[in-house]
Amino acid sequence: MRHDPRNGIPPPPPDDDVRAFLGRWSAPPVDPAARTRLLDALADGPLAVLRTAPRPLPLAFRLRQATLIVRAQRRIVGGVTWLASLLVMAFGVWVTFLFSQFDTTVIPLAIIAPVVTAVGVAFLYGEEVDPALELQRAAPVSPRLVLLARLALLFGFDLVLALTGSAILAASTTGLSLAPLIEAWLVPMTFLSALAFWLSVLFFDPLLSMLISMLAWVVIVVRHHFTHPVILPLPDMLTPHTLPVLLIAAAGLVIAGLWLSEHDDRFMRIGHG
Amino acid sequence: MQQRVCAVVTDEEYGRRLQTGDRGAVGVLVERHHAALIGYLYRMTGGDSALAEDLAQETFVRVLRFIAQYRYPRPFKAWLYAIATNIARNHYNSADQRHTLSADPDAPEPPDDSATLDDPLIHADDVRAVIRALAALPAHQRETIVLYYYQALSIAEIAETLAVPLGTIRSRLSLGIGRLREKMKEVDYAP
Repeated sequence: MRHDPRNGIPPPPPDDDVRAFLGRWSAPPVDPAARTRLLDALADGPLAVLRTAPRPLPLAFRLRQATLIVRAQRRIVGGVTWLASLLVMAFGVWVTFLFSQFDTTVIPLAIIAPVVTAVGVAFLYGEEVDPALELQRAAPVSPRLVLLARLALLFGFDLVLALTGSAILAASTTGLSLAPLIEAWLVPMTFLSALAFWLSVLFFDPLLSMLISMLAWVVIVVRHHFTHPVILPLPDMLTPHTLPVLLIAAAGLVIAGLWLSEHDDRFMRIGHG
Repeated sequence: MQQRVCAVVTDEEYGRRLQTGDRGAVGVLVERHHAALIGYLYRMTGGDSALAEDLAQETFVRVLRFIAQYRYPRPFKAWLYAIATNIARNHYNSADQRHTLSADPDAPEPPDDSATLDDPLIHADDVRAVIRALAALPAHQRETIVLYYYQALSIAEIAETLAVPLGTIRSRLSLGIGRLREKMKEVDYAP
């Protein structure tokens, strides 16, 4: 915010001399006992809690805040994620187009689209991938809102890509129509990205959450396409009857992830690496 | 190697928790701001450590007392420094300090530095020159200069803290720097 021309704040004139002059007066170190005395004094001090719920913020303010948060998260997610999503999704569309020339029920886009989104989502949250966590702490926005904005941004981007790819496929092939094509990837993509999101918040480890999500996806896909006795006892999660279950599970995972993200004590820990 | 995983809860969130009666939130806010706040009040009192500590304590006591007036999600830090600034002002406006007041509101209101003579940190002449230069500024310019240079608040944050427009803060900063430079010339300061 300091001297930011976007805020209409011009930089002040050079002031190195003043800075150096003032810098000669340093404050003494704070006595640690002073903090203890303060906390003791505050322990029994009167606390005036709100008697009524805080007044809801105006809609215009909330909309502007949401826009700013999403814009800020766009920068944090990074260009590689966008480019990788675009390329892999394009690859999925191309392979699906090739498969449509043959007599097969396999739709590669329905397998690839959930993978693309889940990998992206897994890397949305975590210590290594988020140097901006400190910024979050300093901003008057809850981590829940930041995560939700980030999730919506990436999922929305992949959704547009997959919808565009599906429209192209429906227009360029005779065997694929738009609605069944979207139905084939939309719910699985939602579920798998919700799973990756929940795991990344749970473990605070993008790589681990990605690996577990991919393992789950492989099992689901293999079970749907093959009938080997080893996997036969598992339920087929990609039938029209089970898709609503996946959708409900996805909603539950997102809610659980957001709930976990608000419990800061989990992230105050000291790790050894 | 130890790695610290950053906390992701903002000051504003802790402020809101405090509003709902979560007394534990004040511990985190003290942890984050106590030292810096003492530094601010130390400068505002002309280098009186004991008084700065007392005023910092009074600031946090008022945070608890008036937390219901905090308007989430306005920046909590600015609200905290606004309280501290008011306490520092009131201290020098109190009956005990009446002899330091001037009829002219723009006239300098130097903090009485007699209480700080025992402080080894301000014995050096160059440090005394800084204290005198700051004390010679009008109170509103001194607040702005201290918040900007010592507390590293942005102009927007200072405007929020002192509840004045951005342009006023820029003006105070510019005038304050000008006056400081005059004082620097008087003491033949050379960086």
